Amino acid sequence: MHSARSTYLKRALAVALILGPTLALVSAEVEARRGGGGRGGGVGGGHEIRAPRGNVGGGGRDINRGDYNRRDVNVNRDVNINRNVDVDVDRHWGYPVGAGAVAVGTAVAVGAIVSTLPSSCSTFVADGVTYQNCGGTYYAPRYDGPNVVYEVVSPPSSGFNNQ
Amino acid sequence: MKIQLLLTAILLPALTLFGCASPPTDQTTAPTTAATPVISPEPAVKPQPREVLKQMAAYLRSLDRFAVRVEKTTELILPTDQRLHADQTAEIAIQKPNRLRVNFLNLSGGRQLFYDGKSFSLFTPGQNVYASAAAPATIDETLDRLENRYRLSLPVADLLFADPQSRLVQHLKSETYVGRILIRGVVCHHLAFQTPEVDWEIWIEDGPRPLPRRLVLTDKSVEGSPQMTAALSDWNLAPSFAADDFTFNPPPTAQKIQFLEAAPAARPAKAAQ
Repeated sequence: MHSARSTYLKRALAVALILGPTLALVSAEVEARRGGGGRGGGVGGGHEIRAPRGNVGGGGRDINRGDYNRRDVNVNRDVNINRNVDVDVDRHWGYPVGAGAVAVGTAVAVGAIVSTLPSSCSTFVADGVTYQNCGGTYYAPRYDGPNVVYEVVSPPSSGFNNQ
Repeated sequence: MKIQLLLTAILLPALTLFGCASPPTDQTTAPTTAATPVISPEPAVKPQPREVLKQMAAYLRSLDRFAVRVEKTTELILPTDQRLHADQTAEIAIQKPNRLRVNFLNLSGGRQLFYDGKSFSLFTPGQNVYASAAAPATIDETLDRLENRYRLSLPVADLLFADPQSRLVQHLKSETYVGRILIRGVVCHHLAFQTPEVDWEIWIEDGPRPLPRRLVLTDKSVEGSPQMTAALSDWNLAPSFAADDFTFNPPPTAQKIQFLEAAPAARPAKAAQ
């Protein structure tokens, strides 16, 4: 059984070697035409970016993940859609992936996570913690996976403005 | 003829693309020039893929310290079905059983991960923030905790565990010895495996140092089957480390922040053990 299979594989490989690049182009096209969102109806909806699950956060448990079901549990923060996609790209150029694409609304609830601060914030220090005061909404920096994000917090009771 | 032209059109940019990085020469490998033909006699018997994999795992296990550079490309499929290839470079240093350091390189100062057997720290110099937390006593447990509780995953983590074999041979439903090939001037065995969710390939150095040189995986469990490619280079099997390579001493101005931990429901049930 094994030898039969390996012969088949050899043949398949030879074909793949010849057609490989061409096929890759064709299949990319087919994939592109298929239309998105087939599975995207769940939490996080159509904004989902698909990456190899084992590598979403940087390439961890690549091959055998004993923790299949844990991966996509925490998608339910729509202010920060792609929180698990760890992409080290200079995002100032409109790179369409990652937390940089998130817009911050005017009223943000305490506990919300945003990846970028609104403009014109001032630094506010209370109990050794540095907050950003952006128009009366206070943000504290946090690590969300490997990325620095900001969590909206209740206004600290005492402290001083740095600027 | 047409096909040949098409191939050239595809291959040329690809070669240029790979050429642009022109990686530093591997310290422990003799540099190969284009003028020197590489001749490596074929093995008399076709190697068994699982045996080659086991040799690599045993060799990795036998190393008490090493440093390696990982250049990883993760395919991202956008809602428009466009595929982007996101690159990440990490320098990994390990001293067994309980020292780990990872430098993630990017254009905004990167990130540094420290683990010294007692705690781990993540430092982002560009924003001058860091966070620390208690860590388990071994690299293996720490890798698990980083992944599950803090959502910090390391590239090619499967290869960093003390006993990689136990992780790599799980759930294999097919294994193939493809052949030998040059990877960045190094003669490698090319192996291909399948699990129910992932097809993966690995290139392992042929010779007395069976080190992993490249890993490619295709995640069939995700729509569109995105791929990840990781190149492992600059293997240093006798690095000299300093204490502060693994223990983080925060700069006085750096701000300590918290981790947003994974929701309790998402934690592994065995975390309490």
